[in-house]
Amino acid sequence: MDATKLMVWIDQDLCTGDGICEEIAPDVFEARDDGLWVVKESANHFGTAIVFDAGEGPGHGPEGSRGVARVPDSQIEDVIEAAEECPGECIMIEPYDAQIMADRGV
Amino acid sequence: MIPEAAGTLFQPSAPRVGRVEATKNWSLMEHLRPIERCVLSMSAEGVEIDEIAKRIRKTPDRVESIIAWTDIPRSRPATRRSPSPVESRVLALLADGETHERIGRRFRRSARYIRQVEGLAHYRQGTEILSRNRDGMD
Ligand code: SF4
Repeated sequence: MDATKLMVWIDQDLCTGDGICEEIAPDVFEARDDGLWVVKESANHFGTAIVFDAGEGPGHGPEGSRGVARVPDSQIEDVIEAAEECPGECIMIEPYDAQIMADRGV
Repeated sequence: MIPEAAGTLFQPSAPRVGRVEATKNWSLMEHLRPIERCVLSMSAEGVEIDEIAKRIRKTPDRVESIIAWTDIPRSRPATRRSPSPVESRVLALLADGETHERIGRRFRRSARYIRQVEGLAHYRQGTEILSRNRDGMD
């Protein structure tokens, strides 16, 4: 599993649906069917894939501020770039917090 | 490790960081992206956060975030992408049949700006093809 110092989430209320985040960091951001973007943890970084799209069942997690994905250390530069380029200013980067991770319920 | 102070800067309600003790030493900023260097040097010159925000068309909160993110250790320099992510997305959305106006709304920019990005992307693609062809002839 990749080390992680940071977490990231998207405020979907502000997402404009342009897809720049996924263009920059496809291992961390993914389009949802409704044209908004969500965060994810890819299997190639964390062993198991979780998409934080509020979907049902295994492999899915909550969206918005509860849908917080770990950022693999190898992706830090790209996630920062995505947040800086994000037209909606809705990509939120935070220091890793074990309690928030536990509260995700995944 | 993230510097301890960065944890507080990450909070949206944290006090304005104001003028950063930034560095006139450009070599210390080499690993940063152009927008980060630009924000840091304006801040070091004493430009207020609100003014920086206006100049780079971001909100003051995001300017503060950008300053805070410059403290995060990077494992490699920023990637140079060609075409840029914005250009790639504009070309992809146009190819999907989106109009300049609708794309402009998504990017929080004018249709005119989107046309400029499109033109620049085509220009860049053209010059890359020409230089590849030239390299091939050498
Ligand atoms: S870059 Fe920001 S606004 Fe654009 S799709 Fe991604 S999260 Fe949404």
